[in-house]
Amino acid sequence: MPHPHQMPGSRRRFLTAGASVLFGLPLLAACSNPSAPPPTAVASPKAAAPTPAPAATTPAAQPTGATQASTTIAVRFNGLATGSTDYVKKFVADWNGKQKIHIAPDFTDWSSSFQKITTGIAGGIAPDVYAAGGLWTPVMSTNGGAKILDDYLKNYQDWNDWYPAAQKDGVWNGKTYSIAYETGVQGMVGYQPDLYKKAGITNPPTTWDEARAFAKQLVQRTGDTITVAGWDFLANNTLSTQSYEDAIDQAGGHIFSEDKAKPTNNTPEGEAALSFLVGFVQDKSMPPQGTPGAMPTLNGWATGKVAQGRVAYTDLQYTHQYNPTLYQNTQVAASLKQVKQAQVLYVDKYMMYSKSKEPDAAWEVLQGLIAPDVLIAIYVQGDWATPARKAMANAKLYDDPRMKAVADGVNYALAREAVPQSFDVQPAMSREVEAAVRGTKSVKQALQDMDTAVAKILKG
Amino acid sequence: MTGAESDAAVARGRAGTVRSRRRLIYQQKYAGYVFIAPSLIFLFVFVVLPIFAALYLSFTQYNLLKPPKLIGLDNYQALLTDDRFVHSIVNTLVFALGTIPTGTALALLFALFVNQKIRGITFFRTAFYMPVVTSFVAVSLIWLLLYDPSVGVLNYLLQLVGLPRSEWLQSPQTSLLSIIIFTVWKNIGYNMVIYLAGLQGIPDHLYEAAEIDGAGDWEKFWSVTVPLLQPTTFFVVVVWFIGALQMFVQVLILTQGGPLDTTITVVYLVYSNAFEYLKLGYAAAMSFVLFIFIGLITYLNTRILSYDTAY
Repeated sequence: MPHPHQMPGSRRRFLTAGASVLFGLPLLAACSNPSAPPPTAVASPKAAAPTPAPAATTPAAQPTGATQASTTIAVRFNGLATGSTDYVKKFVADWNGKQKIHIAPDFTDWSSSFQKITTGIAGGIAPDVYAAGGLWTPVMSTNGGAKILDDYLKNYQDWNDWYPAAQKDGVWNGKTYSIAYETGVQGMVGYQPDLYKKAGITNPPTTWDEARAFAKQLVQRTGDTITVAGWDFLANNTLSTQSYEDAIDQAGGHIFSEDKAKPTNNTPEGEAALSFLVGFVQDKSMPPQGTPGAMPTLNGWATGKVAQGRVAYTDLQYTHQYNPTLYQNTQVAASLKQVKQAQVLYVDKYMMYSKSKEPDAAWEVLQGLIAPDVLIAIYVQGDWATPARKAMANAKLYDDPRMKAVADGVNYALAREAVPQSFDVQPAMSREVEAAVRGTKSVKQALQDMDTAVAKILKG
Repeated sequence: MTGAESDAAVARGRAGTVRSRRRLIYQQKYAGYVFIAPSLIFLFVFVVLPIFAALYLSFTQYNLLKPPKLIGLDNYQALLTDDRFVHSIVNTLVFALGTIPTGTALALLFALFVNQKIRGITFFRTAFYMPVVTSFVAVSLIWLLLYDPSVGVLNYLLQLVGLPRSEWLQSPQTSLLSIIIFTVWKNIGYNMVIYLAGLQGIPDHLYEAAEIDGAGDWEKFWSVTVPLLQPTTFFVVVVWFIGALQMFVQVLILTQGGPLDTTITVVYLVYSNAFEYLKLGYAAAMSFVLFIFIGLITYLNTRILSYDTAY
């Protein structure tokens, strides 16, 4: 009888052959080229693209049903709520059914969006159009991640509809790199009127002195524990600079010099701003860590632990969602004024990838995405954001007086001061703000250390 | 066929057999390489190559968006003067020294308990092991709620027994301790199972001999159980130390390094520098320093904990 290893079709030969096939298949797959759509001519850019919103008029003379794509533009959306995602999918389906330039949407969450876009750019596979966050303009523009849009915008008649601060947010070194799709403000004054009534306060504060005085009257304690804070602001490790930036704007100062080459926090304005925040903790009107909840959605506002304070549109959104009764008892007033009435404008925007193969087609798509009804449907109804352009101010959400007050706050909001190293600068500043608020450093020392740390980061 | 022809035929047959055996041996070796090739390629591409790529990056300034720029030892020099890096090493060591002795002792205690031959003990073995198989992110989120100073269950229980509330994760004094408690809870089941295996490997006759010599439970534990568990303890401590020095998920979910950098660890700092500040070269340098640090600590552990117990 032949040796089993010498038998044709033996188990060992079968296993060897199988392993070779299993090993070879991935190699073959990796070496093959996926078929690409045939290149076709791109439609020339128009001054105003048709807007395929759900209830809007249809674009001129396009057949219904899916059209064959002449090109496909990848668009990345960040952090959309479920309702907004559904709207986008429907919008894309409608658009692709009527346009030759098709949209391929991609959805991600904010927390991983920056990593994804930077690795995508590094790998040369970034989407043609992508959503960008507040500090992204200098980072992306100085590193070749975003295309200059001035040539497109000079022919775009609607561009004047954008709020000036929202336009300015997208500018770096005199060039525009992004178009805002939503804004946010966090420096409005929120308050509970019934607690005001109990404390004998008739109107919300308009100045820093009033805010501190009212806070002392409003705070409630059980023993040493503050159960209802007389004031609230972001005081945690990574974001407390945002509270400070509102205050330094109100004090008439800046966190950077005009040329953004050096920090300017160790100044009388910076000292006034940081002292204002620290004062609430020193007065024992709020705990040093603020009133964060275990979940961002269950913060002090949504759980009724704040009588008045700096309120963001997200605070109102979460309170409305999780505590509608309390929401009815929450009101919003304009932000405080010290030297001037001001607050930081947080801007989320669309950017175009600098190496997009179809920039003109991407611009077509972008125009569709920034139409007022599309922006309202995705970002106002979905995100409770404040408007980036004036046409968005007609949204139904702003029939609510609280949200109307927040939307009005955009008029005096200032573009956020950002530099290419802002992702490093923000936490460095926050650490010093937190140290001052928690009392481990004096205000003066914290500001000195802040400028030292930021200068080191800017130097590189 | 003549005898010579027959001998030649036999010789040819034997030579052919030798050749076919050599071919077979060669084929078997070749088959072996083919079978391990996918794993080797995977290891090379996803483990070895990235290590060398990171080593190269540690000598560069690189932000993902532009090509890396060689800067020599600047990143390593900057580490020497980076207070946050030094602070993160201290925090990481404190975390390791806080979790390992407590966790090891508790794991042994739990193992002794579940090693009993009593009805229902399987339920306890399963219950103690459950945290190990649960997602780190999921349990971290649950513990965020437990640790909430206002509505968290832990403060409620403290108040029930008349103790003062704690700020837990929100106070610089208790934040790292809170993470230590959570980590010990999460990992105890894993080490309990390892100790259980060790306990079940101790021969019964040693306990019988100790009983004959008049040893009580305590003496049996210290004189028989603990010495014979030295190899297990060695493994548990060394492996846990290596894991503790790389602590990351808890910080990312629970505290993001705060408050006041009291919970920042080396790996979290590497992550922040790489993916938030876009300083990948600097982060790579930090990770190599951590690698050397872990190597040194592991070497020290093996020297201190080396065992030679035999009965």
